[in-house]
Amino acid sequence: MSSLGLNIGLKSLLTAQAHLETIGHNVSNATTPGYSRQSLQTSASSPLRLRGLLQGTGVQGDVINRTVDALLQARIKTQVSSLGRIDARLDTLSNIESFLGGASDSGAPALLKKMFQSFSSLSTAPEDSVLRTGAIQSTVNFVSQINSLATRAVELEQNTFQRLQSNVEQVNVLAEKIGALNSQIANGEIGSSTANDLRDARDQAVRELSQFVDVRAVEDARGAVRVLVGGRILVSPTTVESMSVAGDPATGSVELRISGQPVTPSGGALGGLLGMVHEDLPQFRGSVDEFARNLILEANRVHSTGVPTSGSFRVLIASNPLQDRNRDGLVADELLSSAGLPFELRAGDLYVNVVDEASGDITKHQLTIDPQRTTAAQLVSSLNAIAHLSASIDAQGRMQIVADAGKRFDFSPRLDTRPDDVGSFGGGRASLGSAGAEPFVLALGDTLDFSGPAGAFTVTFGAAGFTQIGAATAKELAAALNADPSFAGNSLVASDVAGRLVVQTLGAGASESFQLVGGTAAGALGWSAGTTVSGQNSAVNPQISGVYTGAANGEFIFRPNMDGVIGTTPGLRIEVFDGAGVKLTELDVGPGYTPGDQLDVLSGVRASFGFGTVSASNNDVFKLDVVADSDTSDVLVALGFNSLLVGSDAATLAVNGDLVRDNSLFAASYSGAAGDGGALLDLLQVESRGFASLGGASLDENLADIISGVALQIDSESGARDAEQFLLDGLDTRRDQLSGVNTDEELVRMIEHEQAYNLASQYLRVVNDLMTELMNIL
Amino acid sequence: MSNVTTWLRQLEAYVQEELGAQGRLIGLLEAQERALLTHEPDALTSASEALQAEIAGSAARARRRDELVAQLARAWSVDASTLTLASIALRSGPDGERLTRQRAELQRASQRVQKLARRANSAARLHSRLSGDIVRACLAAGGEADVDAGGALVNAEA
Repeated sequence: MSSLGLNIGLKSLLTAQAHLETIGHNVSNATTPGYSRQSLQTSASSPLRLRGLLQGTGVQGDVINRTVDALLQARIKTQVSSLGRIDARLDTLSNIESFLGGASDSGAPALLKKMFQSFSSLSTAPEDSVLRTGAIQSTVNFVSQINSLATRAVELEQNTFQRLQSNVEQVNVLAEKIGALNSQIANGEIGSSTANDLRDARDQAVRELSQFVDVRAVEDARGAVRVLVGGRILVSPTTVESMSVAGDPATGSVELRISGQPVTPSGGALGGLLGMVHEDLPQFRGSVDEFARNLILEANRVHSTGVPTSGSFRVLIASNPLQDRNRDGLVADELLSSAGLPFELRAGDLYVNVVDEASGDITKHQLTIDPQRTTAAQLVSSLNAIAHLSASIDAQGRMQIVADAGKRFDFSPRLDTRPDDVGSFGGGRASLGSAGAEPFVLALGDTLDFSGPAGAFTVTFGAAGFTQIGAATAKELAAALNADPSFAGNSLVASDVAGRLVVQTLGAGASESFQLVGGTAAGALGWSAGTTVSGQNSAVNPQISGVYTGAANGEFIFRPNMDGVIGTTPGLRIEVFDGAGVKLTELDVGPGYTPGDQLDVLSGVRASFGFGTVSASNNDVFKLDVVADSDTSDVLVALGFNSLLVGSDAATLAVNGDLVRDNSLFAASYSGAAGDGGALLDLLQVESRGFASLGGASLDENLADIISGVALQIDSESGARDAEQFLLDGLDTRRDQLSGVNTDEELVRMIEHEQAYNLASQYLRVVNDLMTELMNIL
Repeated sequence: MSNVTTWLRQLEAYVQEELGAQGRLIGLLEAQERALLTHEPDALTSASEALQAEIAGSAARARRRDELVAQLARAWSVDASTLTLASIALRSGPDGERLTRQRAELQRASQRVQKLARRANSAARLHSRLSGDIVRACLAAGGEADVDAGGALVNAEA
């Protein structure tokens, strides 16, 4: 019995010592990150059977427990992962914001504004060489800023990739640490004892790992954790896998792998950085590229149709080469839509003006282009079909256009000031036009009988030269007539004027005449047999001025309402029709009109008519092309003819080197005339006009959207970060309350222990004294 | 009934009362020991306070015992310090048989109380010393002053 009592006392003492040492351990680790408060769990020792009685044997310490809430730990881990992701995104977005420059004077928006301000200044004096140099320099400055954005975006992608690599290294270090702790815990935990400090260290390592990647940690029955990332095992109870990063940041093909298998974390710094590499950075680059493409497209749409101060062109060489996409060794057979051009072509028209250097007269030609059907060779052929122009494709695939000596060309939408080239409207030559416009219903073998200076002759129409003679065009008929030797021999010439056939004498003056004698084709042309037409000494010579302000391309067809003399015949009016034959307006040129006075026609177009006779009977007519956009096909932009900007995206964007070297090539006008800043005025519209390709936004709005988009993202992420941090703080506080060590409380507990023991000891000593005294009397 | 017999009966009553007190003490000491084992300061303090109340009653009993023994010593013309319960029972002859049995019971109870008290006292002193050492170690580690040097009263008028 005596030895049992001593044993109970010893157990009690040892248990108390363990208890107090646990408290001391708690106090010592109060500031250790991830430390969980520990407590000694005690129970009564197993009783002994002595003399038929179950005798208690005192107290024993069973196990030292950690105070941990697994659910709370898991939530903290998730929260840490969310914060890691947001922090990584915020960091990258802040980098973008820093090089965008925002509202600073050196920022892209300020430089864009300066560029257009310089265009505005130049528009007041287009011939001013200093202002032109300033405009080009400000364009160079802005372009450099966009180039810099592209370069920095690429650098940022590379930096982000390097950060991914660095973070992956840290993930692997932490994975190794967790793996090592797994082994130590498995070896250290025997029976019911738990390796609390090792578990705390492992929990802390998992928490640190969560900063980099969202992980799932599952503990098995032996106390080892299995760490999974994106469904793949990073740490198992017995092995540690290696994470790696592979791919090319420039293509956005970066991926994370665990032991060679791809994983896609959504949280943690790696999740955030991967999101930036896969989505945000390409999107940013894409939006800057899209801005640059639209700037190039819209600026070049204007500039390519403009005319430089030095006048229209003698030679133009495209800057964008055609590419042999079908690899047959030829570029000419490539469709324009698939010739590797940097900008997309549309089905539309290209107007080409051929300018006579001596007279300034222009001849406007309309080419119809369907990029899905028109090949490079066909475009060259169409250009070659224009009198005085020759086109070709050089060895590098660049198209070039050359004008004959004494001629120039441009693509301006300007009005043809003398549109009646052939003199079919009150001209000096004897002229007879068809009553209606093509197509003309003829039959094989139909004839026209004429009587000219050299006598009567008949022209017979065969199948040759007609696509379908039952629907003959004015051009086909004119060609057939001009090919007839007798027709030419009688000094007659046939033309196509706005789809109408016009037959004229070569010479002009009152002495010129011919007669339509008859023929089976006359009826189809609206001609009466026996019609004689004569020339006149005073040609009406209509002249056009003004700038067409209409929105769509079209044609105005001018016809007199009766036979009469300009400014003399009562009721004489000039009727103006559109291409579909709808009358748009009429101009009173009767007795109240002074020949030569300008009359407003429509949409900024004005016309004047000289003194002379016009004839409705002879179907006098002339056509005026009214052009709002002289290249609705974008073929000039795609090929890079007369470009202000070259390149196709933010990285390759540059000012056309020819303009930098020779500022007189800056196409400020649509006519080349002094004081004409028409192209510049249209160029100024590019800054603020909304574009469908930018979702209706203008260029400056688009640039502001890119910058504000980043700022909004930062704002949004910052808000999210605050919220997530608040949640994490709350969770950490709850963890501290549950698992943390309050040193004051722990010390107070120990002091209470000491005082209680002291008090107990004092009373027990008194009891002992009393018993000694009592024993004396026994 | 002679005076001696009366005093003998009163002494038997005292011994019975003392036996009851020893039984209560044993209960309190066992509670004290349990509180020590569970390391609950509150339970320990509570047990100590109950012990204090019990100890307070022992002085009155001892005084009454000393008076009875003194009267018997005068009646027998011996020095009171030479009398014990065993010698009183022997002198009383057949009248002392009951006291002899009571004395044996009281001796067993007192020995048990003494053993319990010594054991608990040893544990309490060691626990107290251990707690004090840890408190001082923790405070020293935290850069705090020694717990025993927590401050001193100062005469503000001096």
